[in-house]
Amino acid sequence: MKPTEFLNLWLHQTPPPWKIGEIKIQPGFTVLHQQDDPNQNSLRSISLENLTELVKSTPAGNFRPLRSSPDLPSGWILTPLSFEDLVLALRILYPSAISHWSAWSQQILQITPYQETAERQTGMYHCTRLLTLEQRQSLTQSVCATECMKKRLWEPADTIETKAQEIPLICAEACNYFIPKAREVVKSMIPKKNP
Amino acid sequence: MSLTCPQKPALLIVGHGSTVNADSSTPTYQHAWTLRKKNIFSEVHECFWKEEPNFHQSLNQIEANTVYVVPNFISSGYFTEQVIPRELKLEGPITQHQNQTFYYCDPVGLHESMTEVLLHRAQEVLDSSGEKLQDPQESCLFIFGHGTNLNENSTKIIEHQVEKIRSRNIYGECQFAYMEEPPLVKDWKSLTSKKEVVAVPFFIADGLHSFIDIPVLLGLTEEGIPLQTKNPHLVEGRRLWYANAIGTEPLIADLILAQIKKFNETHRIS
Repeated sequence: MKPTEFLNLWLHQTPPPWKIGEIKIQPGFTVLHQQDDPNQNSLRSISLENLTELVKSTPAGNFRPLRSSPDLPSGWILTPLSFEDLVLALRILYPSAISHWSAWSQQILQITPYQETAERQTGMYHCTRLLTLEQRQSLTQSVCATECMKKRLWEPADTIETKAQEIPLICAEACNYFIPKAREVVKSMIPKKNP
Repeated sequence: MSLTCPQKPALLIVGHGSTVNADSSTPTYQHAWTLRKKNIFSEVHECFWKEEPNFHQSLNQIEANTVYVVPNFISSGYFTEQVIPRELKLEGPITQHQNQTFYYCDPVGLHESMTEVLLHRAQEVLDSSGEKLQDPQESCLFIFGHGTNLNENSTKIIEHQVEKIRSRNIYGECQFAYMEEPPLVKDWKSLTSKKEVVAVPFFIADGLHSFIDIPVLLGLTEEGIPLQTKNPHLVEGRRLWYANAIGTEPLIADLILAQIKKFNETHRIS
């Protein structure tokens, strides 16, 4: 089943409100931050194009390179959305989340081990294959566990606790936010040459 | 219910992105929205090397059976020849993966129509300043690039465009200069004797290079101080118009379509 077919079926079978990451979806469709009440008059009605810009910044106005970091700004509302626009909104808010969840639920999600991701790296990231298991465990704690809401399926893997009305955020492969951090760790272990 | 209309292909625009600079991915998003509104494709996706969705992730999201992949890069090189094919599992111009066919087009910067986009951007920076060149034949158009000894393709494409612009005889001179290899941007005053100069940075986004580094090299500002003056800038008796990066030009969306058209013609795809 294609990801959008899977989502559509789930929406029909699951009572609202639906949740994913920091947002909630209400029938109609309406999308807003879980902290916000749809009846609040102060919510700013935005377009999908506005949403593309909104997800790039934290509430403090800093750049937000990870879409699944737990700092999505609140105070906006998307409504009413067609099913097609809901899919697009979810792709902007949480890229690949629906396709990963759909594939994972159907037991067809391909999980890429860290070593395989690292072996693919070339150029300045070639060295990331030298990251040890201990370093990787430490880095997933300091980076993934604190900066990202996704549950990791590559080792060291997290446990995914499914909730009835919530779509889990799944990480199937070390991302390009993690790889430069891995490079920093590996580089810090290489003794500097004396001038 | 599926978003995929079997008659319409999907488009995947591939950008570089950044983990530190929000502006880096802006042009790719901008062109994706322009093309989404045209309703030519069943799905329009963006993906980035440094941001989400990454190249690999984007594959899972596309549901159409036919996918055009267009790199939003100004030249061919390491990314278009090695990284993108590797990450998207492309085996050549045409790749079949299960029930999907991927058409891998040339990067936007290689299209011949880039000449028109460069000339349009130069004219636009003049028009928006409210000032005119006294005599275009007594002025110089500069195209600025990064320049690096790692990839000579990026300089070749700029020099090719400069040759084409020279043949049009719109400006008295057309020159190229680079940040990191000769002829150097910082030497621009000795590279032309013209008193009026229009400069277009050949970069995909308004990032550190076009916003900060080049204005410093041009002598328009100092390290760490944002550009304060407006076009035309007055530098030692010369007037200099400095444009935004070419990749932010809305006409780039047309180049994406032009690359697809060219791909279809080359590979006889109807």
